[in-house]
Amino acid sequence: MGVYILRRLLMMIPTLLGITFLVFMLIALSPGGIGASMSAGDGQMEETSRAIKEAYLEDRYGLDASAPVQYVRWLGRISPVKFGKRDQIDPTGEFIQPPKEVKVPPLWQWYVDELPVPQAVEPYQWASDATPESKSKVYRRQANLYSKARAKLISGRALLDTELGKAIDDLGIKHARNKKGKVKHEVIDSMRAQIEQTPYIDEIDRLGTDLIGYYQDAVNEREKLMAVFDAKPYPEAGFGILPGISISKPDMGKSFSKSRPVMELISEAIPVTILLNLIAIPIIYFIAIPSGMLAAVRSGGIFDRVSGSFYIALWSFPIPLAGVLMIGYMADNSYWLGKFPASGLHSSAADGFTYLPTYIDGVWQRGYLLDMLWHVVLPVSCLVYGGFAVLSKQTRAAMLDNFNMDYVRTAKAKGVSYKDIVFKHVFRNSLLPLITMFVSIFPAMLAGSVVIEKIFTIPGMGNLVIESINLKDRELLLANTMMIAAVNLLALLLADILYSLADPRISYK
Amino acid sequence: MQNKFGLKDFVLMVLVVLVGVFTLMNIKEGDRRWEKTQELLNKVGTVEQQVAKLDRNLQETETAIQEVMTGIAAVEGRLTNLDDRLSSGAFSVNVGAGSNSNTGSANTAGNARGSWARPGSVPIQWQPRVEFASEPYDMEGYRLGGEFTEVFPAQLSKLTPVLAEDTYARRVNDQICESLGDLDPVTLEMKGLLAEAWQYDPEGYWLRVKIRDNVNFSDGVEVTAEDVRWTFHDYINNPELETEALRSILTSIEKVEVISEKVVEFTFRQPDAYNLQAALGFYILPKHFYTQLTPSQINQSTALSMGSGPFKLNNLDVDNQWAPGKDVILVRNEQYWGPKPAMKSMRFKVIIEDIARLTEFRNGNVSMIPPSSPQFSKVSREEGWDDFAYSLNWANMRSGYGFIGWQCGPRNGKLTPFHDKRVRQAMTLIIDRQLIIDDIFNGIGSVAVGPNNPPSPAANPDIEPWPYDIERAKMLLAEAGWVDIDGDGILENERGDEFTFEFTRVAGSQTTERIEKYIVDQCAAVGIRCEPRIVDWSLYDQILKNRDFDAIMMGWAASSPESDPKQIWHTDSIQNQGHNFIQWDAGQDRYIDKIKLTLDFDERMKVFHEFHSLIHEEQPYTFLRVGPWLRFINKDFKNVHTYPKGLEQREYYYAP
Repeated sequence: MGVYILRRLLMMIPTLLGITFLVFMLIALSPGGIGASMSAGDGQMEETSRAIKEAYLEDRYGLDASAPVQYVRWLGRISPVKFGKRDQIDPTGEFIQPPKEVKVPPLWQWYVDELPVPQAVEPYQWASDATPESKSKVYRRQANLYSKARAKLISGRALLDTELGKAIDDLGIKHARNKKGKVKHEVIDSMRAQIEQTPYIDEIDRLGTDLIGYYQDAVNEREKLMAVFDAKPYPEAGFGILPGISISKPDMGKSFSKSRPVMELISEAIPVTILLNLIAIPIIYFIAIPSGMLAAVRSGGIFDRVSGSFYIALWSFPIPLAGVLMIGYMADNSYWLGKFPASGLHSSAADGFTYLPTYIDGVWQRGYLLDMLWHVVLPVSCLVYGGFAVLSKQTRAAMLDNFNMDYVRTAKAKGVSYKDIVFKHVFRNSLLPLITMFVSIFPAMLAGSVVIEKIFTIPGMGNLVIESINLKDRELLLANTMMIAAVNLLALLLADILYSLADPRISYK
Repeated sequence: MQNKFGLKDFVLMVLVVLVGVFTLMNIKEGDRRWEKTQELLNKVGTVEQQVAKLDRNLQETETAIQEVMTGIAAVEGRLTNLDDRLSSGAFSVNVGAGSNSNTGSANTAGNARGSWARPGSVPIQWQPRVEFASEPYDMEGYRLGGEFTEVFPAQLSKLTPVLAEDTYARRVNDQICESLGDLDPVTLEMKGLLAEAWQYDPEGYWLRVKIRDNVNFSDGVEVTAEDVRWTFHDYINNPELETEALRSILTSIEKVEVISEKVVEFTFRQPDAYNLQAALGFYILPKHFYTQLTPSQINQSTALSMGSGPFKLNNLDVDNQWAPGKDVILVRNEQYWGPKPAMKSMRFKVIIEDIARLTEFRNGNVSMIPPSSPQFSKVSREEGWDDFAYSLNWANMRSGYGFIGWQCGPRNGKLTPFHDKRVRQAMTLIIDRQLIIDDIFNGIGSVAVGPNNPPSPAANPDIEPWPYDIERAKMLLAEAGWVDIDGDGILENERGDEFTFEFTRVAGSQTTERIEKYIVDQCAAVGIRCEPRIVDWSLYDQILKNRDFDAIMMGWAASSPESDPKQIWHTDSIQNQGHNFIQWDAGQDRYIDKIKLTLDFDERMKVFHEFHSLIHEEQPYTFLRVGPWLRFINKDFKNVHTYPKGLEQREYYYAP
């Protein structure tokens, strides 16, 4: 059994990689690609400003790399085993990574024979009285200088690209642009002679020469920053095993549409979804299972037929319509049923409530807890109503199967009371499929109920997943996919284990 | 004996679980109480601080009164002196000299007030006192208190100023933060807010601003010139902060220098009509607050928003900020330097579903919602609705417009029929825009006349929209060489090519679908074959960049009364995949370049009007509709007015 579980766990790794890779590539290959949303809304921006903004963003999030490279970088960050220089952790808990490489300026061959190399810098020595604060200050100052130099280089490159774009558009060379409209430097490099004929050449030459200067500054500042970083201004993250290899916790990264750590976003959304489901699932079970049992006991009877068709009718009623109808009739005060709130999880005044309901000086106050329960009534009923059919039909079918078994006949023959046959024998044996069904519900909980959360404005996982897809937010999307996939796989494994525990005939040898 | 789990065990277990749950709840309750106490203590602290400040102010006032008293005594002394001289007759000779010395002293007083100014003849533009556009104080039922709840249809993810630049974050931050200058709600002219006066170089290279003396941030610290310098140089222009969007726009400001504690000077790279807006229009942030934080703390923050505005966020603690998904609550800034709002607080709530929004509004749980167009036209006609709510429908400076762009240049190397302006005019003539508004938009909106629409002063008031006139359109088409030669009902040119074009629209919208159907019909009526091409919004960018369309329907949003026409209309934007995607080139550059260089407002508007006339004549776009703002506001709030600038919630007061 242990070996089996281990094997399944190891199998999970390639499966997870496959799933995340597939999702990532699907998004990357869709029109606009990763991060497309970030350039939205800049229609009123000047061309150069837009180019600079894009360049800044691409630099910050590494969006200029090709999609597979971006994916591999992401893998490197979430892998618990890290290679290369170790990150450091500043007092606010932020991971400080070694300074990024400086990208080689395009078309440098046109202006210099050799790329400038950084000036050599002595290893940084802390003063003997250096405190953590003063070390941090030194690092911060140098980091700021480096990012300023880098920003100059980036905007310089964007300006050069804009000017090159004008030149190639003038010449009418279509193949010098890629699908996203970026200029292709390798194509341009081969067309120096043609570009020299355009009126833009002076400006291109000026910008190109400037760019070499910016590059020189940037590599110098980076070298200095590297020296400070190597002197370890902060404690290192994780622990090293071999030189260049260390273990530290996976870094899910930051969402670029919200620029907050992905883990923080998920940990805000998950409790909400779990709360809804923790209320909904027991309700489904407590209603569906007894009615399924009753239907099985009086199979073909009036209850069986009525409950069966009623549940199927509910199951086939579309959730979006149900949600809107509920808001229309059960939340509008002008109707008799309209006693429920239409959106959110708390009333406006809930922040001033006590946790439990109180009755002080003749004033009834429903309290925070009750207020929340009152708010989830409509969304939970939306979640619940479609769930009865499957579960009650499952119970009924399993019960009927067992009723026809030999052991039931034997029990009847022995004179066991009907009640005992139903509860002790048949029901127990019918429970197995229900247990495994419960396991498969976990992943659904994580994915959230997208439609319901949207209708009732509940900030849960469903909303987060949809948002990450709409905004093509790389980090958020990959983390969500990864989590939902992992929980799905674990749930499947758990189901298999439960099978073998519940049914001795199944074993994984 | 069989070890059985019986009823007793079950009851016992339930009891144990219950005890556990209650203990947990109690702990939670205790936590909440503790937090409340902390909050109260904080509030007491602020109140004490204010009392101390009032005390100081009182002392200052007292000394000032004393000074005035001594002044009065001196004047009295001089008066008696004068009396003596009058009676002695020494004054009568000296009238002319007296008036001279009077003007002289007025000048010196002016210089004293403007001692911060650059020497020379550049005039100082003193700004009026900050006041409400409509004073509520003397109105019926005016009182303090109440909470105004505004509903947003989309989730807010971030509030920290400059990092968050979406419309909703801006609407919240407009209550919290202030800029040096702001547009007047009625006239839409730049007016001093934090700035008391400024001096603007007639050549357009520099701007010197004097900050008001009494302005302070919501924590009581004074707004100084250093805060202005810091906001531009070390906040917006800090490459470590995620301020890319603004940083790339703000390239026109070369540097910001502190002249004295309250005086700051902007230097511009080159003269530009939009420089004044750039320098005066950005939020001024408190340096002392943000420098306590590391760049990554600011980057990852959700709501570290502090400024000098009439409202403030209660929680500005890094570890305990507002989190997305909760309501944003702003409380009145009791130390506000300007006219204080009557409302105690403002709440911003997110409700995504539009039926839920309307339901909550009907229930009286929220004060203002943006209804959808069908909701607006249906609900506002309900009986008794007008006693319950204001139904506001007005065009303002942020109203954008919808249009159909005609490909005036080549598409894939081939000219489209629309390169001829007569054809474009004909296209406009066959589209009854008023009918589209009445039938498809439920009568909400007005026919757009050009790139700037009323109430923007940049719109030419003499321009009437093109009429709906099929006969004239047919004539224009015939003039342009499009006649039905072979009698098959489709127009041809002399080469025999049929008039066929592709009409690109975005998928998934009912209104655009209905407009498309209408246009196909109208084209058929004059003998033009219009083939719809329906694409996903995410493909639009690529289509526009490659100029791969004959006609395309879309819309532009507006953010200011005179947005720079350069990006959309200049021929420079034809190159390099810019936003002149219709590749229109009809000599518009002379106007656009002149607009940028004309610093005087009235002069600039004249050029704008000429530019508008050119566009009207050329019809590179067929302008469809100006989308007005629609709002329902609960009638419990009074002093509600619509302005060309938008709404001024801070003027409202709550009087149910």
